[in-house]
Amino acid sequence: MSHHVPDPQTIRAAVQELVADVLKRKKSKFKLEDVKEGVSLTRDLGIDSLDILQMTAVFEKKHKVTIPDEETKNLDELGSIVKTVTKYWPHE
Amino acid sequence: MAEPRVAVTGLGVLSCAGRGKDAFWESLLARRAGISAIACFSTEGLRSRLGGEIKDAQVRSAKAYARQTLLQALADAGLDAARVAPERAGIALGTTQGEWLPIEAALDRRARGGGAAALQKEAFPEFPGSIPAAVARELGWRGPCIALTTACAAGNFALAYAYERIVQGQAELMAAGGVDVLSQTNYAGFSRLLALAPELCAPFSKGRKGMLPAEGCAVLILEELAAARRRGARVYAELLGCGMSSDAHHVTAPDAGGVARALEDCLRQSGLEPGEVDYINAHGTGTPVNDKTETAAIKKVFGPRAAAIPVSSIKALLGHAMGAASALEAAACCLALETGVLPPTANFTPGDPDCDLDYVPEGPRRTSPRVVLNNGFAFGGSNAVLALAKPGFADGRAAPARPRPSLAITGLALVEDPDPLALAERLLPDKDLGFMDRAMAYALCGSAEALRDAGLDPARRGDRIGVALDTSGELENQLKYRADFLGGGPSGIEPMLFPGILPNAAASRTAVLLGLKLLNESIAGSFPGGESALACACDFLSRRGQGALLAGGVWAAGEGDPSGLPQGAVVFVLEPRQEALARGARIYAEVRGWRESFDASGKVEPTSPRLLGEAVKRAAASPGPIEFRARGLWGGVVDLTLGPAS
Repeated sequence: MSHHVPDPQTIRAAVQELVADVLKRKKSKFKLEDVKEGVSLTRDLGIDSLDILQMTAVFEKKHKVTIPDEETKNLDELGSIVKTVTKYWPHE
Repeated sequence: MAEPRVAVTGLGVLSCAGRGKDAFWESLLARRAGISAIACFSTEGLRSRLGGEIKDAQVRSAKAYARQTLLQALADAGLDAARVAPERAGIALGTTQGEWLPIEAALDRRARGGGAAALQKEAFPEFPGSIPAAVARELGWRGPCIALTTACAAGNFALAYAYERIVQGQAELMAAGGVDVLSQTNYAGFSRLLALAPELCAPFSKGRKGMLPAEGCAVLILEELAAARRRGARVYAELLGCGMSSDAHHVTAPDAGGVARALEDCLRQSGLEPGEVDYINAHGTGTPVNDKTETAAIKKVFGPRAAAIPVSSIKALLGHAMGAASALEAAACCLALETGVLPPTANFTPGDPDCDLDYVPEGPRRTSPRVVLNNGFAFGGSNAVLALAKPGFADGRAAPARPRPSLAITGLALVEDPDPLALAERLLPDKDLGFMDRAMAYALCGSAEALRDAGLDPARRGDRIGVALDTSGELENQLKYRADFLGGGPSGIEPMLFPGILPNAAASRTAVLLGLKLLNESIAGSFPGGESALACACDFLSRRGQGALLAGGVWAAGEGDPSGLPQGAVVFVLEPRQEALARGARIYAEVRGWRESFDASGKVEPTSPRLLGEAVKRAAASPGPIEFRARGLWGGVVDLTLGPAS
C-alpha cells in the first residue's frame, strides 16, 4: 500500500483530535482548541506519560505509521508532535 | 499475656541466580547475575531480550515452583511435612497473575475463535487462588490458605498476612512468600510501557534504562518465636511488623508520599525509631521513575540520616520476579541478618543527582545489621514494607501497642447492575473511566456506594480510607490484550491495557479514582462476598486503631461463567466503633471475631455474595453475637463473629 504524506495541516488536525480524545476520556476541562503550539501536554493539560504512550499506539494503528520509542520525548507539544509524525510517515 | 512474636525459621528459594538459599546468597554476594537471553518465548519486536529465566526448570508452573520451594523451606526449618500439625499450618502466597501460562493459552484459543465457556473452563482453575490451594491440599494443611494479588508487592503482603495469622493465634506455622512464572504477556506489557532495560538492569544508576522481568519463588517459614525457640529451631530473623499504604496517585507511576507513608507505618507497627534501621533492601527496579521516587521517599522518612543507611537492590542480579520479588528480597534480608553481610547493588554507576544514597555499590559489605527493612511497591500504588530484626534484638523491648478497637460495619452496598460501566459513569461523571472492565467498574461502584451509605466523603477523608477487595477478575481485558498481541505483535498492544490485566486492577483503580490512601490490598480467595477481605480489613484496623476500610468481594467472571453466582460487588465499610460514634455514623453491626482456615477436602461451593449482608442485618437485630461461616472457591474458610451495636 502506498500513501502520500498528508499536508501539515491535516496531520495537525489529526493530532489535535487524538489529544482531544484523551482529554475527553480524562474528563478534562481542556478541549481540542486548547491543544496548540507552545502548550505542553504534560505540564499544561494534565496528560501523563502513560497517556502519551497510549495515544501514540492509537495513532500508529490508525495511520499505519511507526514512531520509534526514542521519539517519545518529542511528543509533548503540538508543533513537535506534527514534526515527529511527519518525519516517520512512510514516503512510499 | 504478651502478644506472640514471629520468627523466620526456614528459607526456600528458587531464583534465576540459584536454587536453594545457599546458592542464591552466594550469587548475590559474588554479583553473579541470573540474567540471560530469554528462551521460553520469543522476544522479537520487544525492547529487550533479557530476563531472569530459570534455565533448569523442568516444569514451568507456579504450582510446581511453589510446591518445591515450600518443601525446601520446610526442610531448611528442620521440619518434616508429615509431622506438622495440619490444622495449625497455613500458606500465603503472593502472585501477580496466578498460573498464567495455561490462562494465556486459553485466552489465545478464545482469541482465535474458541468458545467463551471453554475459556472459563480452562482459565478459571488456574486463577491465583489455585496455587496455595494445590499445595495445601497435597500437604493436607488446614490452617489459613490464601493468595494475595497485590502485583509486584504481593510477596510482602503475603508475609504480612501470615504474620497476622501467627500473632492472632490462628496458626502455629505459616509458609509464606511469592511466586510467578515469566510470561510473554507480562514481558511485552513492560516493553510497551518502555520500562525494559535493553542491556543492563542498573538500579539507582546514572543513565539507567529500566527493569528486567524475571521468575521464581521464595517461601519463608514463620513460626511463633517462643515455640521456635522451644524446639531449638534456628531463627534467621524476627519479623517485627509490616507497614502498608496506598499512593492513590496513578495506575503505573509511583508516588514518593505513598511510599514514605508505608515506611512510616512499618516503623510504627514494628515499634522502631528511624535511627534504628541499619539497612533497606530496596524495591529498586531499575526504572528511572521507581529508583528516583524510592530514594526521595527514604529521604523524606529518614531525613539527613538517610545518607548513612545502606540501601541496595538485588534486582540488578535477579531481575524483577513480580509477585515473588519481595519474598526473594525478604529471604535476602534474613540472610543479611544471619551472616552480617549486606548484598550489593550490582551494575551501579554513580552520578544521578536524584539517586544520592549509599547503594552498597562496591560489593558485599560486612556491617552486622540488627534491623532491616524490605520495600515492596506495586502498580496501582499498593505499598508494603516489612521490618526484620536479628534474633534477640527485640527481647526485653515493649511490643508496640495494639489498640484492638471494637470494629463496626457502618456502610454496605450490593451492586448487581447488568451494566456497571454505565452505572460508574452515572455515579462518578467527572472521573477518567477509560480501560475499565466490569470487575473494575463493579469494585468502583460498590466502593462509592458503600462510602455514601456510611456517610464518608472520600474527597475530604481519602487519607484515612483504604480498600481491600477479594476479586476473581473477569477475562475481558486479558482477552483483548492477547487478541491485540496475536493480531499485531507486541506493537499491537495498547499500553494502557497492561495495568488493567493484573488482578489488583479493581482495587487499584478504585483507590486511585476515589483517592484512598490508607490501604490498597487485593486478595484472591474467590470469596464472592468478600469475607476474606473483611478479615484482612479487621487485621489492619485492629492493629492501627484508626481509619476506615472498604472491604468486599467482586465476582465478574464474565461471559460463559459456569458458577451460577450473581455478577457484581458487595462492599462493606469497616471502622473502629469509637470513630464511627464520634462522627455520628449509623452502626449496622460489629465484627467481634474473625478466623481463617482451609477446607482441604476439594469440592467447594463458594458462599453467595448476598449472605454476609443478610447476616449483618440479622446480627443487628440479634440480642447476642451470631456466627457466620463463608467459603471461597479454593477452599478458604472465614468464620466471622458478628454482634449488634453495643
